[in-house]
Amino acid sequence: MGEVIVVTSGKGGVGKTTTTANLGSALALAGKKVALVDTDIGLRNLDVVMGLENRIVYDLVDVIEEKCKLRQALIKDKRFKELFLLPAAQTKDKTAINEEQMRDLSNKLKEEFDYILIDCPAGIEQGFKNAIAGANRALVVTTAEISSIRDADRIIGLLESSNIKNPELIVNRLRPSMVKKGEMMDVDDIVDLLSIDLIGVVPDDEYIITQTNKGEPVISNKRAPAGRAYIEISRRILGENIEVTVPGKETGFFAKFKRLFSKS
Amino acid sequence: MFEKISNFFNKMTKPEVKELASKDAAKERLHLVLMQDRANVSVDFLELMKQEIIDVIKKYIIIDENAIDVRLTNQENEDGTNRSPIFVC
Repeated sequence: MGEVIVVTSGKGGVGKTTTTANLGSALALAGKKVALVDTDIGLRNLDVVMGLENRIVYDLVDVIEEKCKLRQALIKDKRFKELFLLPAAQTKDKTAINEEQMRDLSNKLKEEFDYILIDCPAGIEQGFKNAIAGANRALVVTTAEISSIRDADRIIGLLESSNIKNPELIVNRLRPSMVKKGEMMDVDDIVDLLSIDLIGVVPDDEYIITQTNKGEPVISNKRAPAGRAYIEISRRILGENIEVTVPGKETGFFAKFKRLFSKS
Repeated sequence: MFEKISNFFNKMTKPEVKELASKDAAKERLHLVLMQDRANVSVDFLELMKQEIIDVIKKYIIIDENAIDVRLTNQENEDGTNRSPIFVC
């Protein structure tokens, strides 16, 4: 039986879609059979982030309305052995589907896939309710900004009062240089405020933009720090017990060596 | 190079005014906002409730109003998480 993980945040633009795309790719790279589901009906974007926008024939709403078979709507990502995308509909809205239907769909996907990652829309309305309906695990993405943390807290409250227990936190777009100067909240501050388990920290990284421009996941670029962070998170999703690397606080000989020379 | 030297002299001549790091401001503001969000109440409401609680206590016990501390804070849940708001005095 597969695991259904919803990637959510409350606030828009904090990196849910990028996180979904990269964690999905990283899990597929690790040999797992993965399905990515875009539930942002009307504002779909997981397709372009994955570079699969030209291959869409059917979408999530078509599957739910039984206009096609589930298998027909799943787009196979040829770069990975077993990675599939179920795109959202672009011409409908969030009310086109309901929670019951999402639960059924998740159960069907669970039979075939090891991991199902659900890209949740921003907000706390119907789209959010649909996205979490069939999930048994949640990843909450936040940046170190006040608005994003506040919304994450709301989402955590809503998740905890639903059937999803123990949501896990991803701190995205951390800027170590600002943290060092006391101009950005650090990871401990954020974890303290939200009081949930931390599953990973992703540094702010220009490679996210350049890779997304090309429709390539950032994990395919070995030089991208964000890619390494996503791979680390995927290992923790797989159950490996590894310490969370906080950008700017790397341990080990090389990091210390680098720090010694980067002091200004 | 020139920039570095001029920066150095700038620092020498006008020492930076030590202001509160902006992250501390963010933390403080968030702390309050989250508390209100979690309890689903406004600041005015909290003040009102606080005053009323003090008044009730005063009715039965002689107390110094300024010596009593009534505030909303977080209670540790049974599972160790720190989420439920709690009113203490």
